[in-house]
Amino acid sequence: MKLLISSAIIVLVTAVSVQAQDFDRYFYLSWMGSKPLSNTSWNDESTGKGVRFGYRKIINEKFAAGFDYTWATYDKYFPTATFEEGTRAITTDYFNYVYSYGLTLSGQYFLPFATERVMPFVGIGAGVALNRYVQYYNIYTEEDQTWGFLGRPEVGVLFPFGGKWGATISGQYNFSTAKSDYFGYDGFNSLSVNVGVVLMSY
Amino acid sequence: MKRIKAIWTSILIIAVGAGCEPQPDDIKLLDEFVVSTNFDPDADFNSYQTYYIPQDTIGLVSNLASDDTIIVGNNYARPVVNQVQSNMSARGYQSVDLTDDPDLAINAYVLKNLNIFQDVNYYPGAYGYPGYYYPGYYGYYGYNYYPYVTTYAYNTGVLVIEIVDLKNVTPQNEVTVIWDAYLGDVFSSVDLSQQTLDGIDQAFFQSTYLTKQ
Repeated sequence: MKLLISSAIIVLVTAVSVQAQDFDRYFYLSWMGSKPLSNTSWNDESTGKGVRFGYRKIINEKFAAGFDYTWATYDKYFPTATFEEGTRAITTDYFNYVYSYGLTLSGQYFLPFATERVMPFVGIGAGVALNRYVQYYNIYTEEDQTWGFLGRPEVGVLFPFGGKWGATISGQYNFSTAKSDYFGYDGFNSLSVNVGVVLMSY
Repeated sequence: MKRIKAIWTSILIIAVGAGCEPQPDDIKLLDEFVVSTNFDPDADFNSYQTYYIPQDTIGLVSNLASDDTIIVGNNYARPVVNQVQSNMSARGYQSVDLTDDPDLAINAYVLKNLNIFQDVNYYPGAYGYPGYYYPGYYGYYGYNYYPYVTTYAYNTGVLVIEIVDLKNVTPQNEVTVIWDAYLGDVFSSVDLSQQTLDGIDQAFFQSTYLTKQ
């Protein structure tokens, strides 16, 4: 019986592997968790409210290229405090939010020890970042929206399951020049982790 | 065909993502008033002894029809007046009748449908700052409210408390608002009464200079 099961698994894996190495492009959709690394006095809270979506075209067995689109919401609550400026004082609690969007052209290099089922890679992306910095207090809001350059080195692993589906896990460092003079933000850098599903195309 | 489908799918996902912006919890946002105070740096708060505040009523300034339900009856106005009096008493000022020639007058009113705090933030000097105006509500001349700067279509409102210097009337027969407090938003609160009382206390708490030593 054990021999039968083992044989079945070997046959299945072989069949899947043969299919897996044939895909020539893929889409992925992943959950993205992020942590701000800059201007942390304004917001230093990690967030799980993020998504990453992307496309890759397999150029050859070593390289793939495509695009990535990300969005994430960072939020932090600040308890009631009094702010004084000249003769004026304002007391309130408030929320600082950063709505962060990124669109990059990306390339990735599959490391030499990649296999058909486990494909580690390093990558780099460059594009634009759109950040909306919003401060909410009571019914009032103050907002600043900025654009900037976005650079994104990353490492990750692609797991083709065979057939159309796969999985991916990766980590990125996001460097953005989307600064906000209004809120004293001189750029927005963060660290992200992604776990998602992959849809292969043949 | 396959490629076009993929492109449209990508655009759809991007569009959905762009429209997905979580907001703060409403209850958490609205369970405390924003309390803003300001004062005239030339005022000597130690030089005043008495004040007058109208009993059982507060005013309403609105650019809408007078359909307000907040200030009608004793459920709101009376506690507001009491809380102001309590704080003024704790600071050493004595409440007197208008006929007793008070040093100060206190005016409390609700400003409705006016975006006060943005004006405070972006247009210093235009709104919410103490300054001269012609006295009217204590029997001198027609009352001139502050000039309206910006109005909005949605309901917002703040409770305004002003302290007017009746002791130092200018030769032009002008008086000065030497302290004001803006509490809001009174139309979007979780517990209007309690938040108002807490807000009044906070306004005095953050105005340590407002005392008769």
